Amino acid sequence: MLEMLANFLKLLNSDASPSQISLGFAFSLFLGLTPLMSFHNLILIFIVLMVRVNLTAFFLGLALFSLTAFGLNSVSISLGEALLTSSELNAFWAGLYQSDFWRLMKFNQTLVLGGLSLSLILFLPIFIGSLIFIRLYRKRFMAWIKTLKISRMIKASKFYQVYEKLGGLND
Amino acid sequence: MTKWIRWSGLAGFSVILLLILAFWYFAAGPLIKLSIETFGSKALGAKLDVASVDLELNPVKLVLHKIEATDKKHPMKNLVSFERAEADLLFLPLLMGKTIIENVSVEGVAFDTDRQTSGELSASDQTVTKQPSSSDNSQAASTQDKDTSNKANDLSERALDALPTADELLAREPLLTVTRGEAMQASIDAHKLKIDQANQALPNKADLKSYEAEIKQLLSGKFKSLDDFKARKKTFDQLKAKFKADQAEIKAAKQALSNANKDIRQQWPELQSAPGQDIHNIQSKYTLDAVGAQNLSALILGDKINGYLQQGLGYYDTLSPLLASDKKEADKVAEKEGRFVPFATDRPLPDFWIKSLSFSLKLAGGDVKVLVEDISQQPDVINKPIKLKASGNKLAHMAAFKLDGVLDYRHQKVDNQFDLVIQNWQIQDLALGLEGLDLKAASLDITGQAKLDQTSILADAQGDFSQARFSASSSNGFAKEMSLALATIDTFNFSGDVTGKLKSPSVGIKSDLDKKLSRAFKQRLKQRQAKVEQDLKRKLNDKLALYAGDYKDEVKQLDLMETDLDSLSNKVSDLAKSKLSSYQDQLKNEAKAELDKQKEDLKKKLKSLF
Repeated sequence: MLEMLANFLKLLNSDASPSQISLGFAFSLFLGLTPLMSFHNLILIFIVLMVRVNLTAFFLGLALFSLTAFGLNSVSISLGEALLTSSELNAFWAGLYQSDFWRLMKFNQTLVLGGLSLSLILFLPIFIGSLIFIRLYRKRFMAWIKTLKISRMIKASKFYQVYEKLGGLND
Repeated sequence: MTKWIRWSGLAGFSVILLLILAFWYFAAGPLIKLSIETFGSKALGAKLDVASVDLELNPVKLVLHKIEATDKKHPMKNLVSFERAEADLLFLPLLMGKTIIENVSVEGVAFDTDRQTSGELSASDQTVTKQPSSSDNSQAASTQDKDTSNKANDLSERALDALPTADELLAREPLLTVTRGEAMQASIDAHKLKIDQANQALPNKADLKSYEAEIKQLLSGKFKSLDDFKARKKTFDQLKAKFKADQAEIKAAKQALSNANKDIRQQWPELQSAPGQDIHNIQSKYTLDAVGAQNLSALILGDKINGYLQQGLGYYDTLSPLLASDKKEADKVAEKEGRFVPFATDRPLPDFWIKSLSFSLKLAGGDVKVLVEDISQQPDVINKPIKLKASGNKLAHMAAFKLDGVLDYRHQKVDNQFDLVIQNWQIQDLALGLEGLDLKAASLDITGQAKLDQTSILADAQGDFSQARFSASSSNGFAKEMSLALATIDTFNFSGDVTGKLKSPSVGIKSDLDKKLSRAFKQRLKQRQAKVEQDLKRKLNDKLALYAGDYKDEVKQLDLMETDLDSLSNKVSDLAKSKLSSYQDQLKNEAKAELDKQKEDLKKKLKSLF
């Protein structure tokens, strides 16, 4: 937990682009809220690796959203169930079901579709919210936070020193 | 734009992809082995062992080596085992986590093979909830076997009683001849007692002589005086009263005699007919008539049919939980991990689906080809029932064997149906339900149908035996007699029905063998029976003669006694008719005689005057 907090502070205090951090954070929603062994996640990992998003933010977000997924899974399943059993959408889903690609995407799995839908709904709010937060933090709170005892404790921790040495994962 | 692209990420992605593929290639086999063993054992309730699993990539093929499924009831035996199974997997569904197998070919299938180690699951492996298992069936079966065995023993004992001797019958059976004879004897004794009592009250010869003498004395001579008259009158009245009493006693004695005569004569015809009735009763009881033989086919064939039935139900009981989807379990998983919602398609995609499973059963009599289609635990997704076709042609002991089955688990109410046809099954040395009795050879045609759901069964089968030859290993007893009776029967049919709960089905067997056997038995027993009947008649007539002798003596004596009583009655009546003239009459007569004398004297005097 301390390590996560250290990472988080390091990330916020770094020179990394706020938009890359926010995007990495937002992309982690998809992996965190949907079953890991899904084909769409492979595509997502490809995008995350190919596009210059902040990977630390992505992994931090993945850890955070995987934890929240325990509570959100039932919401995701209900949402997926409602969408997949909606009579209005039945023809649409039935059409997709005839395609091997969409079947590979497991679109008709309630948790996959529900998690994916929830991720899509939350993607922009998380991205914009993170962006505003990082900018606001760096402008108003970063200097003050650095003076706090907890920041000094984190900086003194062994993990932070190792992290400092390795560095460079951000971009 | 290019500043947003991270080319090093491509290498990273390639590494991840390669790692996934490597894991899949190397770990998939052991993982599949583990999952087959774990889930298979759970479903079977006993160990399911797989020696090894190979995964081939082009085309995607799963090869399983040496699979052994333990028989839960006998942990040192395998329910089924096979050397090699090859499954053609569809690649794309596999990426979706779906196991769709186009075809499974199985080699070296064997049933009931021995195991090296016990296949019993350890206590921790076993599920807490008790599934309806074949052990319940076997328990029910054993109870039923016990019942059948008891019935068989009862019937054997009854049938063995078919050939007793006349003496044994007389000693064993409550005979009408004896009971009626004894009843008549008792009646005679009772009547005798009554007659003796009546006889004791009757006047004897001395009494009669005394009466005659007294009467004579009373009636002779003149009354000397009035007192003399009175005295005689008194004695005479006393005698009269005695006569009256004697007559009443005679009447009572006559009545007793009459009653005895009537009663004994009434009983006699019944006693006379008793030996005939006894013989008739014994014949119907001991000659295995239609009633006596009605369960013989159940006795002979019941154990075998019940054995085959229990074997079939055992397989069904084992396989049924594997084929039926566990809806509760699926609901639990769906609640935690979500579910796949199926849509209308001509390419359905359940979690698991073997489209075609074929194998050849190497039996002693030849090969039976088995084809099972559409095995899936989600039959509602594929919208197809499981179809089973087993057929064997040119088998060593059968002209044709065909078993078609449809196992439909798509709806709440399971609907499984089976049709069986066996043609010209050459049966040899089949031990029958009766100890020592074998069906040496026969040709059998069978057709049968069965309908099963989760808990109940409704099945019927018809069979025609031809060219049947029976033999008995024991040199005496019922089996031997049965064998000799069966020697005259070479064709018979049977029909069986099975109804009720799967755990305790009720089995009914009908056959024309009963009638044929009854006829054959009658024929077979005719000779011995004739002799027994002859002996029986003679012995019964001897008994009758004993009672008849008593009867005739008694009737003769009664007749004599009746004649004596008639004579006695006449004599007493005659005596009773005697009359005592009065003293007044005597005086009147004397006065009249004096008057007549005086009248005569006067007449003579008057005549002399004129």
